[in-house]
Amino acid sequence: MTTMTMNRRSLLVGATAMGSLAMPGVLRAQSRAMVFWTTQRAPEQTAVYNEIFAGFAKDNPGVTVSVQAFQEEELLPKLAATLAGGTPPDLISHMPPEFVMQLNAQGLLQPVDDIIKTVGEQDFYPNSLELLHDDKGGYYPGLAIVNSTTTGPLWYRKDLVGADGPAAFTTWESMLATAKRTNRRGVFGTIYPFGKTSMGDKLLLQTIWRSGGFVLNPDGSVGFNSPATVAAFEFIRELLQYSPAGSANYAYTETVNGFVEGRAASAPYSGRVLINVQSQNPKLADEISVVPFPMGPNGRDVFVGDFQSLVIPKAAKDHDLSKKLALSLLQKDNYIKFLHTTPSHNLPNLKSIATSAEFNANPIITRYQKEVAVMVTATAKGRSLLKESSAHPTNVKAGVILGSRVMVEALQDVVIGGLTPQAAAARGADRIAALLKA
Amino acid sequence: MTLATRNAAFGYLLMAPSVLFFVILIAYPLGQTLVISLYHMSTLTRTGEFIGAANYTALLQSGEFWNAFGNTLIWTVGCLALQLGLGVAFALILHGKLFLRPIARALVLFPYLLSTVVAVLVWQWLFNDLYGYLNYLAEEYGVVDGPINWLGQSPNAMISVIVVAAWKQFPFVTIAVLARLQGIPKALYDAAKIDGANAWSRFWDITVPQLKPVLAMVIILRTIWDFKEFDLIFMMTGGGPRSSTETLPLLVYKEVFPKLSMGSGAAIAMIMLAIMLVFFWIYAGQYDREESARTR
Repeated sequence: MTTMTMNRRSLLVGATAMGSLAMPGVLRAQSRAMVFWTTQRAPEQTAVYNEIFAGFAKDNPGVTVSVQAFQEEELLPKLAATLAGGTPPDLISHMPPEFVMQLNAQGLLQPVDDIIKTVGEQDFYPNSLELLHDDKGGYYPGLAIVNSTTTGPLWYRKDLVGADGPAAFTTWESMLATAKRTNRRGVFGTIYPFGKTSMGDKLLLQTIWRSGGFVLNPDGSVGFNSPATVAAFEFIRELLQYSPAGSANYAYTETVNGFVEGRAASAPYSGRVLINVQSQNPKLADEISVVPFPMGPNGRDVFVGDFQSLVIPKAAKDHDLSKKLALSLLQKDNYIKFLHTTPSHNLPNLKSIATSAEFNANPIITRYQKEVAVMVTATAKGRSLLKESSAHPTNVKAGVILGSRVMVEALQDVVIGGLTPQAAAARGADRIAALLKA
Repeated sequence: MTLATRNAAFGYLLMAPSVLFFVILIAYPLGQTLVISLYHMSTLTRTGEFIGAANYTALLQSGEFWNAFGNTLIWTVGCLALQLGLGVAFALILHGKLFLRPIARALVLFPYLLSTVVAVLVWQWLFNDLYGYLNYLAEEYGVVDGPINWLGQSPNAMISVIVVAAWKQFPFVTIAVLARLQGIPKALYDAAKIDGANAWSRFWDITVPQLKPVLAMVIILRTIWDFKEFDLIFMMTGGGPRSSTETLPLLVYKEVFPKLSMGSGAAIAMIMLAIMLVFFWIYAGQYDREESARTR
């Protein structure tokens, strides 16, 4: 009996080996299971990815693509593990741009210039291209798949703000006055999240920029302890009187939920507010609108953009196939299909798509045309800590500075720790300098 | 070959799989961590220069490390005290005559069986200052005027995470203590009653001495486990506000991932290992004492 089993097994192994050899060479080479990573985890997004990749598999016989979705915080740990194991993914989407340049500085990414050229370089929003360019190497290590800003738009309740409308948020002074006026039992004047999270860091960074300051000066020195940062701290401290007590622990979810549930008269967030209002609190659907987050007296009109990017690890098995997969995501119908899973939240990074009738045909986008236009305008002014102005060189330590949360901790030093804004800014600057030196 | 040599060889052969697993799963990673801690190494490329003990000296001079060390001690002691209190109290209740006792015993295990992610999500909802149930109750019954900032203020954040951890882990203490309580001969209590001992005396002079060995074991095990706790604190507060809940495991994560500095992360891990070895040494001593008492 044992001998019989062994013989049958040997026969099966032999037949499989013969079959593989008999397979046409091209087919053997293309028989690949590709792995795609993304931080976009909503069920409808996964469904669209699967649909796009089913089409890709049909066009590329023998190729299958599996989608692995996880949180942004998990990207680096998982990438480190797969790089060590020699099994990196074939394509990664929605990687924060700071991570992209951090990985590029370590020589871990494959240039994606071919993809950009095939799509059309002029079609990309220039701010995203400027940000993700390796000036020394003369190539693009990644491309922004979306061009949105989560901190740039400030949503407000028209019914609470009243006749002033957008004018209620043109300056810091007017925002403070509006927050004070709309603050009442059960409804906060605003939500200013400053937890040790990505949103806390990005919103503070934007407030510093809109106060006229920099984290690093164009010459590379630390500029965090400038009067502009101190002014930003003072403004936020005043604003927090009208923000929920737990704002010190708030991130994206708490902010959007607080506003959508009607517990705040204003809050910064992306276009996801429009989607959530429809499903969670439709009675507010006609009562909300958006303005750009206000600017301080000597501020610069820039916002923190998200610029989540597509990258191909250098250690990926087949760069050409990875590029083909990336191009399939940027194909007009696929791209729009994906963007429409979260209409107005993920905004396109291709001008031709942003202005296309197909993209704008979505019911939410059509209904809130004015609001979407405000967000697109803010997005076009988006920058990143990678390159705080066009005069700045690329700061490859941007990911380390953001990941360490030293900036938002400086704000917590003021609000929770009771340090003076000057002392907190100086402490923050020292910590940033130490990170740059490490 | 003599019989003794053959037996010894056979013994080594039987031990070989365990030794192999020990080398692959424990000794090698440990050795690697020690080596990495002597390098200035990138997490992603795993390359870098040898810097000797520089990571250790830099850590011992950094305020961040000592702050995290202090927080780890507060966290460990706080968790342990609360877990022991709750665990022993529940064990005593469940040991008594209780209506539907088997169901109550099963239910008390519930927090321990719950995944940390689910527990954190539930507690974050309870603590939420806008729609959290705890704040709703506190305001409804006039305990406070406005919502309590459970997780965004010091020392509330540390107290809150300790409470959650104690709630999640106390069933372990309950199970261990309950098992021991059931093993105490009833005759001891009967004899004490005849001698006129009241309930308190019986608890103090019979129950407590009988529980001592199991409590010692539970204390040491829970100290080791709590000392290295990462996920619960990371998900609840991320180490904040400021650095008030940043413990050593969170500092390891911060060094290795956002900062991509594997060397200094490995150095913190080695220091943690040295501290835990002390606990383990005490645990091993206690285990040996118990074993020899049992075989006597």
